[in-house]
Amino acid sequence: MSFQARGLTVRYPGASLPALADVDLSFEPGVHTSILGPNGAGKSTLLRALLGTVRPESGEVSFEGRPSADWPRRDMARRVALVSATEDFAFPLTVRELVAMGRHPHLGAWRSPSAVDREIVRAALREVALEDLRERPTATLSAGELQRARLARALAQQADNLLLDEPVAHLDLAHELNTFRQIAELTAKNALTTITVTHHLNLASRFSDRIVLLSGGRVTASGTPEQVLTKERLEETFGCPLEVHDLAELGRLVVPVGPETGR
Amino acid sequence: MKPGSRYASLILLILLGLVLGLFIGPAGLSPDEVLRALRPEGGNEVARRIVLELRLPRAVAALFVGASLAVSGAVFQALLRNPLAEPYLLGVSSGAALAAVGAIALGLSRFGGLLLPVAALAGAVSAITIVFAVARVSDQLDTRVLILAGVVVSAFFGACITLILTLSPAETLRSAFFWTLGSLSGISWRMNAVLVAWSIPATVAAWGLGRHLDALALGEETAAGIGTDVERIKRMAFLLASLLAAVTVSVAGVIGFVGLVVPHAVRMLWGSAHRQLIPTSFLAGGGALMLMDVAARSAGGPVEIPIGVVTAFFGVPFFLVLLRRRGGDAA
Repeated sequence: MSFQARGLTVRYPGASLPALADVDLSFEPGVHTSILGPNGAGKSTLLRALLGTVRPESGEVSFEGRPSADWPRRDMARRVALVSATEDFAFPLTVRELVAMGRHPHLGAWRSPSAVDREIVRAALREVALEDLRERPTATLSAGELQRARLARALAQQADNLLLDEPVAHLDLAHELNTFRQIAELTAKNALTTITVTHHLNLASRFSDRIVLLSGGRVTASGTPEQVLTKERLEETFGCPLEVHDLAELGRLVVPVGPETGR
Repeated sequence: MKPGSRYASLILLILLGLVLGLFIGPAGLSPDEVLRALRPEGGNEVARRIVLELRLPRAVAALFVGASLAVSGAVFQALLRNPLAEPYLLGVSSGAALAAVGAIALGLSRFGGLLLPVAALAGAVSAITIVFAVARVSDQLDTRVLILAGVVVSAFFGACITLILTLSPAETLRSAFFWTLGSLSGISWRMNAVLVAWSIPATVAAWGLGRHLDALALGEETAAGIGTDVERIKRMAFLLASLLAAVTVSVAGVIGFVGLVVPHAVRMLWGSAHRQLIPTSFLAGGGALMLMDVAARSAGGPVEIPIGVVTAFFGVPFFLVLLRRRGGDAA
């Protein structure tokens, strides 16, 4: 068991409603879980709670049996890598420098990167096909390239747990598909515990072993994509009429169809 | 430029500043007299006093004040994620200035040379404490509130200074005015000792925070994800940078531009990684202020030009040229 949440309730200071309410979930190695749900459902908060950067108001959330918030940050970062939803750059940085920051938790304050560290960074850049852009300033990257660079940083962290907050936001069709495939393959090959927050229902259904549906801070469903991605459940969760088609090995196809368009 | 030659060239800059600082001055000592005064028991008494009690401590002060300001600015820019941040942004200078001007107005500056620096340090630390307390909510330091609180506290202290100066006689006005412009004259070995004893360990500590400062520049969530204990690092960075600025302001008054321009120049020349930026800014800031102090002492003939004027005259055009060349990608 990697992560476990029991009765997890999180409330941000000053908020009347909790961001997460009474969540019971556990996550295991080798399983790619996608977290789906409307905006404000608590998806990103769940990732923060698992990582331990927000503390539960009640209930508990732990990583390997120890409350997540009690983990020394550096120890946690050697085991768990995060790609957050947004990131900006206060100062200019090259792609290589950005990806090399994934080695920070392994280097500590004083140790200089070794040949091994540099090779790990190169391999991570290769993995996301950014080798040729490694000396480019991040400011000159397209949104998709930047997103892949951030994924490479998480890979350079060599953690056995990946928390990905909308990793394919801003990516074009082909990169969306490749990124999801890559995430699924890495998860299976390296027995990673991977948790992906996404709005891409179709890709999630095809490349996830498990889907967790969140709504209003509560878990409304959890199971295989076939079990969770049903027309009734999705319509209720997203508040929008939908069509759901089964495309066999391509997963479920979810298409919003309403309300009436007036056309 | 390889790191080795980068550091070597900055150390040469400092040595140049030291040589010019020792050999140039209004007393008009010949190079020979200066060299003899530097030998043990050599030279005449007046030359020895000028070289060893005035010029040398002044050069050392310029080195460590410039170095501390540059490191403080570099840390503040990373902590506040703001390229406009500089050591005095959060009220350190106005707190120190208010205390110093208050002490001058009350006539306390007559009682020994150390009273003014001690008052200034107390003022700076009070300002730091107020700003820190305002921005710290339930164990978290909000850097946006930090900037706003700093600016507002500065404005209030500035109003207090104006009030005191309005009610003061002309001679108080003049000495208070010179204090707020900053000066490296009359810094004793004792004050230098305090400056060095704080500036070196604080810089080493800031250097040790380098990777965390890199991480913070990407935002707090990402920083936490790559192993930075965000709140602890922000507190440490704030205290280190503020106290570096506080110590410099208490011995030398307010000297602008070094803390803003030097870290930017270093970033543009050699990149933003803080493990490089902190030590390089230390050397570059020290060397730059030593040379500018020589200019302040010699350019105006018998009149010493306030050092803050010189740092603005050199710093601003240099910075504008850098910005132009790099298309402003640091901002």
